[in-house]
Amino acid sequence: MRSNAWTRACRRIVTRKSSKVFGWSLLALACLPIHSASARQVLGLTSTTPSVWVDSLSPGQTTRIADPKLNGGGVEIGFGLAPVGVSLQVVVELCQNDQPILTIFNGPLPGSVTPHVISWDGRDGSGNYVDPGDYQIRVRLGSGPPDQLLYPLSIVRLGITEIEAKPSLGNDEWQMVYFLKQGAYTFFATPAIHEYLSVREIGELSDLDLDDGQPRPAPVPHLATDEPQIEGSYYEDDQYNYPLCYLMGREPVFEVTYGQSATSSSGGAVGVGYPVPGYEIRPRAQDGAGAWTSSATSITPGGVATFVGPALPSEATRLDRTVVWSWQYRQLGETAWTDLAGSFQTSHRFYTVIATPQFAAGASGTQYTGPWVEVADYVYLWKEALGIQVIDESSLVEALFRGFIGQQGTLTTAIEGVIYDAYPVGGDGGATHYYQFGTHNMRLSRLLDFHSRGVYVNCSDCAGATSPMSGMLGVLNVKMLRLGTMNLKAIWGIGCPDYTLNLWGSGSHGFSYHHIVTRTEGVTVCDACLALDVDGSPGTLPGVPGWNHDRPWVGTLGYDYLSSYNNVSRTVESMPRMN
Amino acid sequence: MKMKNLARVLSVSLTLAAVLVPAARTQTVLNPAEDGRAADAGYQRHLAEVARKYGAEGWLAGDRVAGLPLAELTFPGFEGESVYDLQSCLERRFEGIEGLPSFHVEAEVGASAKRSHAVLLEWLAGLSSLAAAPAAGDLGIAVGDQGYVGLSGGGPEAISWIAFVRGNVAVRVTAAEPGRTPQPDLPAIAAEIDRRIRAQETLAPDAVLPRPVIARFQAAASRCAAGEVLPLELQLLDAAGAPASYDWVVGGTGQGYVERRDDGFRLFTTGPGRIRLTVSVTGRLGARSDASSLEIEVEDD
Repeated sequence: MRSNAWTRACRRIVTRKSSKVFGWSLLALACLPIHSASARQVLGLTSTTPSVWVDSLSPGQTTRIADPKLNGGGVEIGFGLAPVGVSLQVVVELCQNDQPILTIFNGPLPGSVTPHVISWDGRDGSGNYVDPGDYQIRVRLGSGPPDQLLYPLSIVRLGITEIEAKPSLGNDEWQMVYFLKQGAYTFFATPAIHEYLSVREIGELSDLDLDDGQPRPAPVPHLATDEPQIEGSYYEDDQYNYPLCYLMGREPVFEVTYGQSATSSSGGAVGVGYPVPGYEIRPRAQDGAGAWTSSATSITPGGVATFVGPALPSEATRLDRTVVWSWQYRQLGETAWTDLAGSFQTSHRFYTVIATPQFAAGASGTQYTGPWVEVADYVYLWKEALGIQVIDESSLVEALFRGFIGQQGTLTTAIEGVIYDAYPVGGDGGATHYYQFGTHNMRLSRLLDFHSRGVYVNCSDCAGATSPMSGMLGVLNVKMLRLGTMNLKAIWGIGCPDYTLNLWGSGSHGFSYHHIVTRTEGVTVCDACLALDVDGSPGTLPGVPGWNHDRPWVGTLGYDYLSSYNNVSRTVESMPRMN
Repeated sequence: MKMKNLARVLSVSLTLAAVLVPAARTQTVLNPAEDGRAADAGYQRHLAEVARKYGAEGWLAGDRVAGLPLAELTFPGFEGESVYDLQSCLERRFEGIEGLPSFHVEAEVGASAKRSHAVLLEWLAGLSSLAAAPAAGDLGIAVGDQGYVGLSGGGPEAISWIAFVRGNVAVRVTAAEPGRTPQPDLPAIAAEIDRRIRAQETLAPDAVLPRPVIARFQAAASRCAAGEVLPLELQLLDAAGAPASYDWVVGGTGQGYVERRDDGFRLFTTGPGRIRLTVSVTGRLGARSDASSLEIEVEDD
């Protein structure tokens, strides 16, 4: 389709090297379909006159702006050849300031009614990418009449150096926390300023390309759950892609920053070649769930654009998304956009939570910045294994407490392979190994580091772990509940082979105290340290597992009745601090 | 009906009732203050019961010492990891030749024997079993002014932990996996630690426990853009020598992390807001400095 813009473009760019008569004739043709017989007649062309002509029927086939370093990026050059059926030697060249610098194509092509399209990958004869800048594509005959076409071409370098996840609707996006650094216990929160970063290392030439001129690959998502990315002895500070945490059901918001430096074919740092005078370039994005919307209509090197993605699942889960970034360009004053060939992909891991993370009151430190990656990942794995859709506190508590104790379905062990600290299974008298009784502090990092303080745990360790784990994933009002002396019925301890009525051996079967968890001030309770017997005869063996997630305290299926013979006291305690 | 028979019938009736019908149970549910365990009457009662069980009132209050050089402890065949300060309780892990955790040492250097006794009592209060842990002396393990042992079911000779106090220092040595062979010789390890404590300077009854002092703590700027890196200046005074550990807390609404580079500590800012950066230092002998804090306004980039 011919447009006024196209006409104006033809006047500017299309020249013929022969006499002025031809030049003027071509200008006159600007208003005529060049494929028409009348147009050729005006040119004085006959069916036997070799010529090249502008493919006016599909102007989009001739690239105006390109970034060959994008996946699928490149340049397309469209032109026609006459007369039909005659083999003509055609030369396609890249020129700069009207001087040829590179031959893109040199070979015979038949004249035809259908225009030819030459695809060029943007590289020279040595395989190096051409630098960003303004060029011309010249299409001419190798011999015979000096017909030629000149197209302007701008090579640019498009890419993303930073992505910052931002809140969608208020306080609904959080950083995530790691607890190890090369075997040492120290906390690191994913950077709020950009969870995705891809810039040059110190000493490298540019942000968007490697020093050999190849495009810098996008950092892959960091999948480790205990430790962030490390470079040598330090936290990685140039290239990383950390998981993101949002409230379930929200639309993620990305603020992306565009790179402003590229590597030249001669091994130097160069600019990115845009803005192209008279044109604007806008960004696009989409993933498997749909389009990411943005109001940005023109990008600048080093500038930012904000995108809103398709809504995340309305459940607490983990998912991976790959975003395909692309661009379009148009002439200033025009309305229609042209796709810029190629795209760039970034992949992202999302965790969703049911509500705002909760931590011990007054606690301060990086470990309280947001959910721990390992904890969120554990609950995801548990809920998948148990077939639980986590959509609220009740379902989250079920997935967490059943998953923590494990030993059901495909969960063959308890978390980190721990075992209840009792003599018959190799432990001792139920000592705390991770929970600090005096300071009400839980060494959760040590537990998650494959039980580095030992395989044995007691009730305080389990309650001390599951209470902050619940809270950081959004469960409100989670507290530890300390129980008094218990004359026990049949119990199945965490990591133990079966129910027992002889917990400590030698006929001793009771607790001097017990620690469990509640989110209802003791009305209902959760206990990941042991399972109770729900076969109707809780004081005898064998036992039928009764998992303790939101179990009522009272009643025939209540925790009090199922667990012990005596009158057990309850004391609500706060959620512990953790490190 | 004779009284004896009546009592027996009542006893039987009560037992049957307990099995067949859940008795109406009344419990006292206390809600302590959110901050601090001191206000938790139930917890204090539990401690009091444990103290009675172990005769804590009769524990010997030994001479106070300058501390324990936990970071300098070495045990043949084991590799010691870093010292961590977990709210004044120091922790250090030792790994065996296979690179797996073998045992842990926890130590708290308090201002007085009263404090070390309280720490020992807290460790004992954390035992779920009804029976008391045996005294170390009763098992022929001579450590500390007072000590107790957690016997393991992992084997006839297996020991899970040894906890003792020596003056103002409380120590607990815990095996990571008591049933694993070879087992760390916990009695020997505990005895060596006790020896190292006794080798330290004895403090006069009215002497203040020597602690490191943070003489100067500054950042290169009080305001920066998120993403900037600020050098930190930290000057310490500690007659005991180089510190065992630094404890950094990045609090407030801002975000960042502290990393030690060749030329000292740096704060890497990673999120806008007001950072309250706090540092405390654990001295070579285990005493902790007062915390020192500064604030940095981190602006959005």
